[in-house]
Amino acid sequence: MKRITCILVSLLLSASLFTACGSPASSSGETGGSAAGDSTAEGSAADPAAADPEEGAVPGDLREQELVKLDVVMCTTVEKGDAPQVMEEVNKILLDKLNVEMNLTYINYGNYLQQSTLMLSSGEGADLLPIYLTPLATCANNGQIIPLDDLLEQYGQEMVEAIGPHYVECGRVGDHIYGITTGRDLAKAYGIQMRKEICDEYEIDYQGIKDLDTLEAALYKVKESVPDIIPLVPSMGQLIRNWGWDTLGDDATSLGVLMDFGSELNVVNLYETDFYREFVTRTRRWYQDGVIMQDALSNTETTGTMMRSGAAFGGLANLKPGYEVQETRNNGIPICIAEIVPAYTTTADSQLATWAITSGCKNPVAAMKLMNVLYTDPDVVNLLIYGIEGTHYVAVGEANGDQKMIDYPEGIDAGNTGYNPGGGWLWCNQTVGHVWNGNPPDYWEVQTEFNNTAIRSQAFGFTFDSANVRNQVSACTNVVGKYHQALMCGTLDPETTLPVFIRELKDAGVDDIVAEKQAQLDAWAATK
Amino acid sequence: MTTPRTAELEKSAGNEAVPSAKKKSRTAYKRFVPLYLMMLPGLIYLFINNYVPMAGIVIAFKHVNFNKGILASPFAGFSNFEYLFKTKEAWTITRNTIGYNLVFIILGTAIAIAIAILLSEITSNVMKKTYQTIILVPYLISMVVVSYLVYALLSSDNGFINNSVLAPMGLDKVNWYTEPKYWPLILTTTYLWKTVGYNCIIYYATIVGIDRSYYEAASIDGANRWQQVTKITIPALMPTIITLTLLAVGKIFYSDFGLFFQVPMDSGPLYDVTNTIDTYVYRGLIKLNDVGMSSAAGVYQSLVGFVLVFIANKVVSKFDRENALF
Repeated sequence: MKRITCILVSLLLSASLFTACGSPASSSGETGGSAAGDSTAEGSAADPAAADPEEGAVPGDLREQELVKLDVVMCTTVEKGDAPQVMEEVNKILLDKLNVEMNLTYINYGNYLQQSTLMLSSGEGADLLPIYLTPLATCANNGQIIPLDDLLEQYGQEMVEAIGPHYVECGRVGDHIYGITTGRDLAKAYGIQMRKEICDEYEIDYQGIKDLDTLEAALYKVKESVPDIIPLVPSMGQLIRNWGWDTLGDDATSLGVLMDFGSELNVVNLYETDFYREFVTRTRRWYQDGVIMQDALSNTETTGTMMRSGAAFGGLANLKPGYEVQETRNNGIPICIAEIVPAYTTTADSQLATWAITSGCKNPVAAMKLMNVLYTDPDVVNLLIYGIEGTHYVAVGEANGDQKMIDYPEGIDAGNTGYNPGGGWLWCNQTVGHVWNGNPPDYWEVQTEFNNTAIRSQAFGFTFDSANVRNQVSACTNVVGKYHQALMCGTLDPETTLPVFIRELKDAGVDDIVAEKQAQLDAWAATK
Repeated sequence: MTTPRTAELEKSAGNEAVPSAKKKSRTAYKRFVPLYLMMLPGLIYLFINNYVPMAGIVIAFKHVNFNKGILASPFAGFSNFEYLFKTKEAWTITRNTIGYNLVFIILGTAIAIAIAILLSEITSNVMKKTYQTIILVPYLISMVVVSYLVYALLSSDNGFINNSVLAPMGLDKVNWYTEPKYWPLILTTTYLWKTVGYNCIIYYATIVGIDRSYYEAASIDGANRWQQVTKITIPALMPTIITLTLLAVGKIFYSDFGLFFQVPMDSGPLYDVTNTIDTYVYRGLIKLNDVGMSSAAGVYQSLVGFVLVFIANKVVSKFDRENALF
C-alpha cells in the first residue's frame, strides 16, 4: 500500500513538474502572442510618432536604427541549392536600404499548406509570408495575421502604386486590409486548349470556336475524324472550375454566386440556375457520345499530360496571356487555344495569393518596409526569382522598363541550375523584373493590360465571411462534392440527379448561405 | 498482472533478508527502485505524449483566435459540434463508419485466425516463411498505391475487369466509380486483403506459444484435427481475440482515411457508401479551416470510442471475468 502511495506521490510530483514546466511555456506563448498584438497596436498607434522624427532627421531614410532580422517564408518546387549565396546578395541590398536582414525559408508546395498553417498558428518562424491555399479571410478572422492599413499608409504607398489600389482593396477582410496580392494575372478567361497538329490535320476551325455550340461541333468532328483519341478530358477529375460566375470567394464549391461575370449584385444558388442545368445537360450528352473521357471522375492526370501522351485532343482551361506559349513549352507539343469565356476578374482572383504580416511578427514596421522593397525593387525581385546574374541566368536581350530578356547560361538548364525556385507569380511582384526568353519583351505590360481590361465583377473588392454559416458551409461542401464534378463531367444524368442534388443542398442549408452572402454584399455595397 | 510477481519477489527478498517486517519492506522497496527507474522514461513519455495534449480538448469548445491565444479565445459552447449532427448526412456517415468497422472486426478476426491456424499446420519451414511473407506484403503497401491497384482493375477505359473479364464474357462495361452498390464489397475486400496478413501474425504467434502437450494428449485421446482446433486452439486464442477486439472497438468511430478517401478516388457518386466521419470532416472543413470544429470531431470520436470500450468490456466480463481487460 505504502509503495503505491509512493508511486502516486512521485507521479504527482513529476506531473506537477511538467505542469510547472508547461505553464510558463504556455503563458509565455500567450504573452508572446499578446506582446505581438500589443506591438502591433503600438506599431500602428505609435507609428506616426516614431516615424515623424525619423523622417524629420533624414528625409526619406527608411533605415532601421538597429539591425532587424525578419523571417520570410516562400514556396518552392526544388531543392535549395544556391539559395544561401542568393540571400547574401539580397541582404547586401537590404542592409544598405533598410538595415534589415532577411532570413528566407523555402517550403515545398506540397508541404506549404500544412507548414504555413503551423507557422501561423504558433506565430513563430515567419514574419512575412504569402497566404496561399489557406483563405485570407480565415487567417484574418483567426487573428493569425495583422491589419495593414496604417502600415500601408506610412510605408507602403509605393507598393500600392505598383500593384494598383483596386487590387490592394481586394485584400480587405471586414474593416481592414490584411493581405496584398502579388503581381500576376489577376483575371481569368476560360476556353479550350487543343493539340494544334490535330486541328491542322483534320481542318478543325479552332479560331472559329466562340461558344459552347461551336465548341461542340469541333469536338464531335474530332470524335469522327480520330476515334481513338478522347476529344475532351478533365484535368484531375475537374472539367472546369468556373464558367463566368463570381463565386464571392468560394471558388471550390460555388455556394451562392453572381451570374454573368457578377454584372448584378444578386446572389443566386448556381446549381438551381437554368445556366447550370443546360451546361450539365450538354456535358451529359457529350459524355454519352464519348466526347468526354469515360474515366473522367477518377482521372488524376492533367490535361497537359494526357495531350502529351497522345491520349487526348484537349481540355477546358483557365487562360491568360501567353498561355499557349507556356503550354507549348511545358508539353513539348504545339498547343493552340480558343477563348470562350472572356477575361473577367473577381475578388477571389486577387485573394488567391496575398502577402501578409503574421501576428507573431515583433517588428511590423520593418516587415512592411521590407514588403515594400519586395514589391518595388527590381534588383531584389530579380535576385529572389531568377538568382544571380551570370551564374543562374544571362541577359539575352532588352525588355521594357530597363529590364532584360533573360535565359539560362550556356550549359545550364532547368535540371541542373543551382537556383530555380519556380513560382515567380507567388513572389511579391515579378512584374518589375526581367522577362524570361520566349515571352514578348512587353510581357508584363500585356499582363497588366489583361488585368485592367478584364470585365470587373460588381462585387470586386467584397470578401465573404462564412463565420455565421459554418455548419451550412461544411454540410453543403459535402453535398457539392458528391454531385457537382460528376454532373459537370457528364457521368451522372441531370434528369434524375439534379433535382436530388438541389433538394440535398436545400436540406444542407444552401439558402442560408445565399441569404447571408446577399446580406453581407448589400451591407458592403451600401458603404461604397 | 504485476501483483503476483511482486509478491513473489517480495517473498524471496524477505527470505534472504532480516525477518523484521519494517526492514523487510524497506529492503523490498530498495530492490524495486531500479525497476521503477526503468519504468520512468515510459511513464514520462506516456504522460507527455498522451495526457498533456488532452488539455487541448478545450479547443473544441472555443472560437480560436490565434492572436489572443487559446485560453483567452471566447467560448463557443457546443456550437463547434453542431455541424456533425445538424446535417442529414449524420446518419449516413455514422452508419458507414460503424457498419464498415463492425464488418472489418468480425471478418478480419475470423479470417486472420483461420489463416493463422492454417499457417501453424504447415510443417515445411520454407513454405511457412514464403506464405507469411506473401500475405504480409499488402500490409506494407501505402493506401495511395493500393488505390491505383484498384483503379487498374476497375477503370472504365483501361481497367482489367471491364476489358479482360467482362468484355470477353460478352457482358456490358460497368462504370465502377459511379455505382455505389458495388463499393461495400470492394472496400471490404480491399481492407481484408491489406490487413489480414498483419493481424494473423499476432494470432499465429499465440498459437505457436500453445503448449504442444495439449495436442499430444488430445490426439492420444483420439481427437481429430478439427476437434483440436475448436477445443484447444480457439480457447487458447480467446484472450488475444478479446484484447484485440476490445482495442478495435475503441477505434470503431474512426475510419481508415486512406481506404475511404483514396481508394474510391474521392468519387462523388459513391459518397453514400464511402463517406465516413473522417472523410466528412475532412471535406467539410478543408475550406473553413476551423480548428475548433475539427477538434470537436476528434473529441466526439474519442468519447464515443471510450464509452464503447467500457460497454464492450462490461459485456466481456459478464461472460468471462478472466479475459476482461479491466
